[in-house]
Amino acid sequence: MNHSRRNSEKSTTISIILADDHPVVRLGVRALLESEQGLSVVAEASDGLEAVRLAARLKPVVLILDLMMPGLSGLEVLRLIPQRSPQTRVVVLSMHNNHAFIAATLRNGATGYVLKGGPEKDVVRAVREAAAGRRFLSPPVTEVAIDAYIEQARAGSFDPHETLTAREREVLQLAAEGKTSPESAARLHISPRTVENHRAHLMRKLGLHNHSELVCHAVRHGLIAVEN
Amino acid sequence: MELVSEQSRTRRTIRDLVALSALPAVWVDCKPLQVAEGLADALLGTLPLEFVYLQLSPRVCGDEQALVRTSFESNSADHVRTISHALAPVLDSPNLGSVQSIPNPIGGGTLRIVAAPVGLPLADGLVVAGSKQTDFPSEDERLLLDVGVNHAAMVLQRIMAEEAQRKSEQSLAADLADMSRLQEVSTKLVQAGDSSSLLLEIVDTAIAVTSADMGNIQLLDRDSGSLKIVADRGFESPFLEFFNAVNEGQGACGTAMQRGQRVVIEDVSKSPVFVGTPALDVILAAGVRAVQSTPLIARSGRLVGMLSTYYRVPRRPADRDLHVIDQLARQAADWIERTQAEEALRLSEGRIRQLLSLIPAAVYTCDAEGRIDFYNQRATELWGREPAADDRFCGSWRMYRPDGSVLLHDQCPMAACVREGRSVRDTLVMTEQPSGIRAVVSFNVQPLHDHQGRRVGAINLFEDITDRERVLAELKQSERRLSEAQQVAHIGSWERDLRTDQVTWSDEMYDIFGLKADEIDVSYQRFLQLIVPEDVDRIRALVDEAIRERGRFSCDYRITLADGSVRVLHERGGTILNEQGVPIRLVGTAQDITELREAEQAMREYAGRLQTLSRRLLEVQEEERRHLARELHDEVGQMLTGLRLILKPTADLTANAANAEVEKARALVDDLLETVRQLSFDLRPAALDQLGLLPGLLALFDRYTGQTDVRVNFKHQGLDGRLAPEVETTAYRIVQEALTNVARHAGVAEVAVRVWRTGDTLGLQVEDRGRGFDPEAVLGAPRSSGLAGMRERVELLSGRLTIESRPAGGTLITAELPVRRTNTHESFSKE
Repeated sequence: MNHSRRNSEKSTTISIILADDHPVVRLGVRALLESEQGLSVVAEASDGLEAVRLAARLKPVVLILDLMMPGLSGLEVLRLIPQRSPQTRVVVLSMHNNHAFIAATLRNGATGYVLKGGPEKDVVRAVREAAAGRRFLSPPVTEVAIDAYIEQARAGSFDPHETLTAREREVLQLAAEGKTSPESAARLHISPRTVENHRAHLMRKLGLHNHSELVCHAVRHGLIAVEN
Repeated sequence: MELVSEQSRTRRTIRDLVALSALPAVWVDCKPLQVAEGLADALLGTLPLEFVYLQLSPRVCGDEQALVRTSFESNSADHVRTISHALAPVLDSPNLGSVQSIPNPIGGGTLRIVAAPVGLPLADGLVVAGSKQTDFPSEDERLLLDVGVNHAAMVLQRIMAEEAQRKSEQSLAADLADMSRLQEVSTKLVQAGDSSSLLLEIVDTAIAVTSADMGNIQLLDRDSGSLKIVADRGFESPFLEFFNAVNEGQGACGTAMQRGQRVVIEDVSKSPVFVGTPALDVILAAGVRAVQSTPLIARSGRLVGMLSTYYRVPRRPADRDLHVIDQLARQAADWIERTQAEEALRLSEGRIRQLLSLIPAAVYTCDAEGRIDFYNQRATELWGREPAADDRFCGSWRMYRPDGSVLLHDQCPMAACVREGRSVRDTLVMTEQPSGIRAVVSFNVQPLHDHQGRRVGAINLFEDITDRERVLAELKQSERRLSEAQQVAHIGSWERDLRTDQVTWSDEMYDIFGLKADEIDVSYQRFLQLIVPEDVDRIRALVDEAIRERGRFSCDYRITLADGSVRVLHERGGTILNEQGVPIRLVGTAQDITELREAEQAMREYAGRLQTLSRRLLEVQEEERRHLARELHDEVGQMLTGLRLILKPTADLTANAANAEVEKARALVDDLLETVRQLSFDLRPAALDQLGLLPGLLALFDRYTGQTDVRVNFKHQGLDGRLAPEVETTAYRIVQEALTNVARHAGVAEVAVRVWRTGDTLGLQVEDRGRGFDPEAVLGAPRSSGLAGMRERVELLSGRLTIESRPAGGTLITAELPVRRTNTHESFSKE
C-alpha cells in the first residue's frame, strides 16, 4: 500500500475512479478531467458497490462519487472507503446545494464537495486539492456556513417546559399550588379525569416522577414563589 | 383209746389248721402260680392225698394254668397228663363239694375225689383232691381243705387286685403320655409354623399313640377332588407313587372319603376294599396288613383330608386308639382349615395390596395406633416423601384445612376414623410437601375391621384434585363472567302467560326499561305503552303472528325511558305450547343494543371517514400531479423552449456572439437545474430519506425561510439516529403543513418549532404568536386547511394531536407519535 502510494505521488499523475450512475455525466466529467495534465481516470463505476470494489482493487488517489446512486448510496460508499482503500480521497459530486448533505458527507469523510451545475473548474480543483490532502467545497457553500449548520443541528438549548400546552401549563400551575384534581377540574371547567390525564402527560414530558419533583420544577421556572 | 385218738386227731387237725392259716404270710409277693403250687404242696402235706389238681383261670394268671401235685416224689409230666385226662369228665361239670369215686389213674384201686372252687367267682380256679382213704374226706379233712383253698383264694384275689391296680396305673400313665403328646401337637397346631413338619408330627403322634407301624396324612386337593399325601412315615417309593393321588372309592382312604366316615380294615388281604384291586399288591409290598383311615372333617363340615395309620399285622385298633385318632383328626382338620383360610387370606390380601399398589389413586392404611402400615407409590408422590417411622395417620408433611388453618396429623379425617370409626368421602385437605408444593387433596376414609368386627385401622384413598378445583374455579368464574356479560350486554328475560295475560320480567328487564321492580305492575299493555309509538303496531303484529303460527320472532324496537332518552332493544321470543299444542306462554329475551347501534354508527362513520380520506388522498395525488404537470409545462417547458431557440444553429455568428448565446443558454440551464431541484424537493426531500428527520427538517427550514421570509426558531432534543420511515415522514409532513399554515394565515415573522424525543415518544410542536383561529370551526369545515390531514396522519400512527388556538391568541400545535428506534443502516446490512 505504501509502495503504490509513493509511486502515485512520485509520478505526478493523479489516478481517479469516477462513480456516477448517469453515463452522460460520466462522459462529461471524464472529458473534463482528461483534458487536464496529470489526471488519469483509471476506471468508471455505475453504482456504489462497483465503486467500492474498484477502489479496493485499484487504490486510486481520488474517487469522484455521486451521492445518489442505486445499490449502495454515496454516503455508504463514503463510510466503506477508509477500510477498503485508506489512501483514497473522496470528492463528492452532488446536485444538492444543501447544508445538510454537505455536513453529512463531510462528517462521513469526504474531502471535497462539488455541485453539479457549478463551474467545471471546480471539479478539477477539488481533485487536485484532494490529492494534496486539502479540502475543497463549491463556492455556494462555505465552511463557515457548514459550521453554522452543524451548530444548528447540534442539540440546542431545548427546554421541555416550552413543549407544554396551555392546558398543561394551567394544570401544572394548579398542581404546584397544591390543588387536588377535583379542585383543579372545577377551576378549569373540565372533568377531574381530564385533569389527571393532563397531569400524567405533562409529568412525562418534563420527566417528573412525583409531586415533589413537580413542585421543584414549578419553583425553578418561577411558577410559584418559595415561601421563605 | 377212742378218746385219746379223738383228742390226738383233734390236736393234729388244729396244728394243721394253724399251719394252713400261716400260708398267706408265706405267699407274700408270690405269683399266682407259686401260690397254687404252695397250696397243692400244703394240701398234700396235711391230708392223706394221692394227688392235687389245680386249675387257674386266665383272669388270675394271664393264661389258663393247670398243675398237678402227687404224693410221689417227682411229678412227672405223665402224671399230669394222666390225671388231667382222668379228671376231664369231672372238670367238665364239677360237682362242687360232693365226693366222687374214680379209678386211680396213677395206681391201683379207687380214689375218692372232691372238688373245691378257688375264689368266689367260680371261674377263677378249681382244686381237685384225690385220696385212697375210703372215708375221705372226713369232716376235719374237709375243713382243712376248705381253709387251705380259701386262704389261697384270698391271696390270689389280693394278687389279682394288686395286679389290676398296677395295670390300671400303667395304662393311666400311658394315656397320660398320649394325652400330653396330643396336647403338645395341638399347641403346635395353634401356634402354627411350618405346615409340612407339623403335619408330619401329627402322623408321628398318631403312630405313637395308637401303636401303629406307619401313617400318613392326605389333603384334599379341591381342584382335582383327589387326596394327596402331604406327610408320611414308614412308606417308600412304590406305595407313595401309587397312592400319590387317591380318588373317591379307591383304597381305604378313598372309601373313607366316599363314605365320609372312618374305615377300618382289619386284614387287607380279606377286605373287599382291596381284594381284587392292584392296590392290594402295593399295600402288601409295603408291609401293611391292617389299616384305618379317618376323614379330617373341618368345623364347617367340609372334608379337608385323611389321617391313616397302618399295621404290619392284621388287627383292629383298640377303641381307645380310635378315640385318640378322632381327637387328633379333629385338631388336624381345624388346623388345616385355618391354615388354608389364612393362606387364602394371605393370597387375597397380597393380591389386594398388589392391586392397591398399582391403581393410579393414592392409597394408604394405618393401624389402630395410626402407624402407616401400607402405602402405594402414588401416595408417596402426593406426599413428596416416604412416610417417616413416627408419622401418624398421614404421610403428608403438613396439612391445612380449606380455610388455610393448620391441620394437625392427629386431627385429620384418618385419625377421626381410626378413633371413632367415622368414614368420610371427598373431604378436602390441603397437603404440603417438604418442597413446599401444595395440593388440594380429596380424602376418602373408611375404617378397617378384623374378622371379628373389631376396628383395627383405616384406609384412605385420596387424590390430587388441584386441577379439578382449578377447573371448578374457572367454571365458576366463567359463569360469573356470563352473568356479568349478560348484565353488561343488558339482556333481560320475560315471560307472558297467554291465559292470564300476566307478564313476568327479570330484574335486568326492569333495569333496561329504567324501572324499579316494585314501581310498576307489568302487563303487555303497559309494555306496549313504553314502546315508541311508531314501533308499536309493528311489534303487536309480529307477536300476534308468532302466537298464531306457534312460532318464534325476533325484532328491534325503540323504547322511551322516563328521562326521555330513547333506547334500542333487540328482542327474541317464542311460544310455548301445552300438550294439546295450544300456545299457553310466550317467553323471550330483550337486549339493549343502543350502544351496539351507536358503535355500528361509529363504525359506519369511521368507514365513511376512511372513504373520505382515501378520496382526499386521491385528490391530493391528483393535485400533486397537476402541480407537477403545471411546473413541468410552465417552468421546465418554457425554459427548454427558450433553450432550444438559443441553440438554433446559425451559420454566420461571430465567436463573441456565439459565446454570448452559449452563456445565455447556460444561464437557462442553471435556472432549469434549480427548478428541477425545487420540484424534486417539493415532491420528496432527499435529505429526509438519505439523512434522516433532523437534516430533512433543517433543509425544509432553509427553503421555507428562503421562500417565506418567516424565520424558524428550531429547538430539538434526542434526535440522533434514524426513526421508522413512516414516523419520519409523518413528523416531517406535520411540521411542513403547520409551517405552511403559519406562512399563509398567521401573519408573523417568526415561528417556533420544537422536536424532542423522550423514551418511546416523538414530540413535535409548532407555535406562532399570530392571528390564531377557532379550531372547532376550522376542523368542522368540509375542506380544512390541512389540520384534518395532520390529525389523520397522527391517528394513523396511534399518536396524539393537540391544536390550541384562539382568534388573536396565536396557535400551538402539538403532536406526539409513538416511536421505535430502527437500525440506522438497515438497508445496507446485507453487505
